[in-house]
Amino acid sequence: MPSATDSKPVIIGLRIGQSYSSIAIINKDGRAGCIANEDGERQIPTMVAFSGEEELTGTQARVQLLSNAKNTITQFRNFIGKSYEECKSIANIGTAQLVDKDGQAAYKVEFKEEETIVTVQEVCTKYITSLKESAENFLGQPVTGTVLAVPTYFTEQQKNSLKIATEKAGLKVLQLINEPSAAALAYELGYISGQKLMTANEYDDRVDVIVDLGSDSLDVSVMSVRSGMYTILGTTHDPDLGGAAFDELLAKHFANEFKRKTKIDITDNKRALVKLRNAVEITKKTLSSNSTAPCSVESLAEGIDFHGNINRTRFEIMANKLFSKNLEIISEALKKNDLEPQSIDEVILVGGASRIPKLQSKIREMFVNPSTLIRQDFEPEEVVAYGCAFQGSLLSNFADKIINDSINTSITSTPHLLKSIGIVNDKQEFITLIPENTPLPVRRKFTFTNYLENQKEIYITVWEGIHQHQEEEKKVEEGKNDEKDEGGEDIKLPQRPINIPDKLLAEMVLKDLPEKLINELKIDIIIEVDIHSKCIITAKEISSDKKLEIEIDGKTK
Amino acid sequence: MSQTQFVLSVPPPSWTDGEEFRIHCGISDGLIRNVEPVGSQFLAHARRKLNNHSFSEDDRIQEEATTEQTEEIISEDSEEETPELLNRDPKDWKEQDHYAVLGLSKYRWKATDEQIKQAHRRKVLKHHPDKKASSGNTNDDAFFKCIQKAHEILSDPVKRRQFDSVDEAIDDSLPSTKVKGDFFEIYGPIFEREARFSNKTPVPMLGDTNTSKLEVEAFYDFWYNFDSWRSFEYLDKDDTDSTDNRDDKRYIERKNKAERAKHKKEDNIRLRKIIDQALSLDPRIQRFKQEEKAAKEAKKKEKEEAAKRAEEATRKAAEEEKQKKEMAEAEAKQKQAEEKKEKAAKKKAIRNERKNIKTHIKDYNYFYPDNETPPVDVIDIQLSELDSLFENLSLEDLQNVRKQLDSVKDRYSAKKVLIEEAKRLVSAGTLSADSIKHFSPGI
Repeated sequence: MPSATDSKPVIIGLRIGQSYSSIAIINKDGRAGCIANEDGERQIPTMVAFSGEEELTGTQARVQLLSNAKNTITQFRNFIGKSYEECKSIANIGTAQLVDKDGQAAYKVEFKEEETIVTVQEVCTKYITSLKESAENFLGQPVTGTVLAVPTYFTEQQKNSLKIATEKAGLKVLQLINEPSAAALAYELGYISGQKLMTANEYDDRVDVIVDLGSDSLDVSVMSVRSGMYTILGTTHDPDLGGAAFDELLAKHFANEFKRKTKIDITDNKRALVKLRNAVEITKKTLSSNSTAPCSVESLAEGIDFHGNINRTRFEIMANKLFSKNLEIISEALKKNDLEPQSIDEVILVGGASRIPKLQSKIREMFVNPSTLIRQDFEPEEVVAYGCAFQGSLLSNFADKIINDSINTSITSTPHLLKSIGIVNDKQEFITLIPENTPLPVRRKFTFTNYLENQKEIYITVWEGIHQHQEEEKKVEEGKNDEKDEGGEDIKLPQRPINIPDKLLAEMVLKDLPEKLINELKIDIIIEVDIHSKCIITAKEISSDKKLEIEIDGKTK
Repeated sequence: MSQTQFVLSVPPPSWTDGEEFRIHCGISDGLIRNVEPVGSQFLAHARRKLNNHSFSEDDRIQEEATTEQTEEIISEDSEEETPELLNRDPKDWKEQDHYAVLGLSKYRWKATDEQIKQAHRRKVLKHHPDKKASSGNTNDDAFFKCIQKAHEILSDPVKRRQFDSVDEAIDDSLPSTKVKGDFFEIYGPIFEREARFSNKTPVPMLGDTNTSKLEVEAFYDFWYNFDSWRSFEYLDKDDTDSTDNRDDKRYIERKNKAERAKHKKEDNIRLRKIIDQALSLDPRIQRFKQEEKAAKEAKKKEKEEAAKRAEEATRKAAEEEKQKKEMAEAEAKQKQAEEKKEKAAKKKAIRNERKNIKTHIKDYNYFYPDNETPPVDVIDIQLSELDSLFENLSLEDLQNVRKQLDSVKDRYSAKKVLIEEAKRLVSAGTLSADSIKHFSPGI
C-alpha cells in the first residue's frame, strides 16, 4: 500500500559512452547536473577490470590499466548484443582478449586466479551497478529508475541487451532514448523560462543539427523540432572519425619526437603506445583551453622519460585533414535531407572532442547564417546525460503503463506533413503556418489583420508550399582558406530561403466584417490537420464572432 | 516576426459575390516517420494517439477535466447567516464554529485550502467594517473579528488540526451494539469519519460484503495500528500566555499536558472500542470464520477419506500381488509337467530309434555274409560301440541314421552309413576315436 511517506521516485539519467560515461540528475531548482563518482570524477571511464580478488570499475580500473592490461576491459559498449564475428575485427588490442562464447562476444580474464569468461552483457551489468552505487552514495537514497541514452545506430537487439544488463544491475529502465534526442531535449528544457533563447517563432519550429563527436565516432543527426516534438530526419555515422583520431595524430607526433631525441622507435612497442596515448588524451584536452600543452610520460621506453610540448597552431595544422573530413560528414548529412547550412536553426555540439576551438570555429564558418545558433553552453560530454535526466523527471509523474504504451512504435511512427502549409499575405508573400515534417495531428492558430480601413471582406488563400532555395548565393562558403582568420565581416550573408507556394489548396472569403481601422481587425485562422491528412480551416473575426469553416479532405485532388 | 506579415487583402475582382469558399485540392499525403519519444509534447501526442483523438477533441477533454475541478470550488454560495452567528462575541472564539462563520459548515474537515481562502474572501467583502460604515452602521466589527479568527485558525494547518480534533459538530459517539440495521450502513460512515485523523493515507475503508478476506484483514490490521494526529490543545482551559510569571506558566503547561494526555488516552480507548465492536459485529468476519471452520472440517474429512482410500489401495494391491503369484506358480507347474511329458516322449522315441537301428544291423546279420553266423564277441563289440554312438546322437540324428539305413539295400552301404556317422562325431570331437573300432573310418 503506498503511503504518504513514500518519497518521490529518484530517476537518474545515464549515458554509457564508449570511453566515458556520466550520471545526471535534476537538482531542486530544476537544473540538470552531473554527479561525481567516489573518486570525484564526473566523466567516469567506461572500464571494468579484474584484479586479483577485486572487481574494479571506472576511475579505479583506469588507474591500473597499465599494470593489468590483460584483465582490463575497455571500449565494450558497442559490442553489447553483438556476435563475436561482428566484433572481432574491431576489438581493442592490448586489453582483455575478446573470445567467442556461444557465438556471443565475451572477454577472457583472470579473476581470483582462475580463468573466467565474462560476456559483454555481464560486463555492462557490473559497470552499471557501480554507476548506480555511485549515484546512491551521492544522493543518499536508493535510485528507482533510469533513462538511458543509446546511439542511433544501435540495433533493437543491442538495445534489448543493454536494457537487460541495466535491469540486472537493479535499475529499472524507464526508457531508452536516442543520444541526439537527449541532447536536443537538454537544450530545450535546460533553460529556465526567461533565460531561454528566442527561437524561430511561437510554435518553436526548428531544424537542428546535432554533431556528436565522441571518442570513437562522429554522428551527425538532422532533426526537425516542431512544437516540442522531435523527429530525426537522418543520421550519418562515421566510425573512423572522433576523438581517438586526434589522439592518434598527437601520439604519432610525439612518437616521432621521441625517436628524434633518443633514436628509439616505439611504433611497435604496445606498452609504450598505451602510455603515450593516455598522456596524449590529457594533452589534447589542455590544448582546447591553453595555447600550448605539455606531454610527459615517465619511462616511455627503455627507462627513458619523455617530455614534449605542442602548441595549438601546430596541432590545428596537423589535424586540418580531420577537420575537413568532419565538415564533409556534416554537409553530407545535410545533403541527404536536401538541406542547406543556411536553413539550419541550431547546431548542437555533443561529445568531448567538440571542444576543440578550431573545429568549433570551422563549424561556425559552415553555418554562416547569423540566426543559426551554435549550442555548446552545456558541457558537451554531459549534455546527453542531462537530457536523459530531464526525460526521467518528465516520466516520473506518469504511470508505467502510459510510458510503455507511448514508447510503442505504433505511437512513435506517425505521419508527418510532407509540405508546409501557409497563407499568402497582401504583399504576395508566402507565410508558413505549419512547416513540413510536422507530426500529425497538428493544430495551429494565427491572428491576421486587415490592410484597408473599413475592410468589409477578407480574402484568404491557403497554399501548400515547397522549398525553393536561392541558388546564386550558395558559393559563399566555398573557396575559403582554412588558414585565414575568421574576420569575415565583408562576406555578404545569404538570405534565409523563401518558400514559394506550390499548390493552391483553397480560397476563402470572410464577409460583412465590422468596420475597423487598419490593423485593428483581428481574424483568427486555425488550421487543423488530422492523421489522415484531412485539413480543417477556420477563420473567425474575434469581435463579431463571424466564422467560416471549411474542410479539405486528403483525398480531394 | 513583424505584424505586417499577417495582413490580408480583399478578394480579387474576379471573385463572385455569392461564394464563400472554393476548395481546389487536398494536401499531400503525410510521410511516415518516427517521432522521438521524448519531451512533454510527446506525452501529449501519445495521449492523443492512444485515445485516437484529434487535436481539438483532446484539447476539449483536457479542458473539461481542468474546469471540472475549478468549477466545484466556485459554484457553492454562502450559507445563510443566522442572527446568533452574526451576534457572536469574538472574545469567546474557543466556542465558535469556525466553519459556520466562513459558511463552510457542510464541508467541515473536508473543505480544501482553496475553499477556505475563497470563503474568507467572500465573507470579508461582505462584512468588512468599512463597508458597514458606508451603510451607516458604525463600529460594528464584532463579526468581522470572528471571521478573521476563523480564517486564522483554519488557514494554519497546525491550528486547523487542533480545531478539527475537537470539532463538536461531528458526532464522536459509538452506536449501540443493539442497533438494528445494515452493518455497513452503520459503520461505514463511522470509519470514514475517523479516517480523517490518520497520519497515513490512504486509509482503507470498510468496504462491503464482497470485499475479499485479504482486504478485510488489511483493514482491521490498519485500524488496530491506527496512527492518529488528533490532539487536544484546543481544550486547554488556561492559556500559558495569560500570565507573565514563569512558574505559573510552567504550572499551566504541566496541567494542560496532563489534560491533553488524558484526552488522548480516552480518544484511543474510544477508537479501540469502535474497532472492537465493528470486528465483533462484522458479518464478513463471522462468515470468514465459518468458512474457515468449514474449510478445516472439509480438510479433515478429506484427510480421513484420503487415509481410507490409501488403506483400500494397499489392500487391493496386496490382493492383486497374491493373485499374480498364484497364477505364476500354476503356470510354472503346468510348464514343468509339459516338459516332463515331452522329455519322456523324446526318450521313448530315442529308444525306439535305437531299437530300429539295432534291428537293421541284426537284419544285415551284423555286416557278415548272410550265410555266416557272426561271432558273439563281434556282436558284443558292435552293440557296445553302437551304444556309445547313440549316446552322442540326438533324436534327429538317430532318425536320420535310421532313415538312411531304411533306404540302403545292402550291408556294405549300411555299414558305411554308420561309419560316416562315427566319422562325423569323431571329427566334431564329441566322440574319441579310440572308443570306436569296428565302425572307425579306418576299416
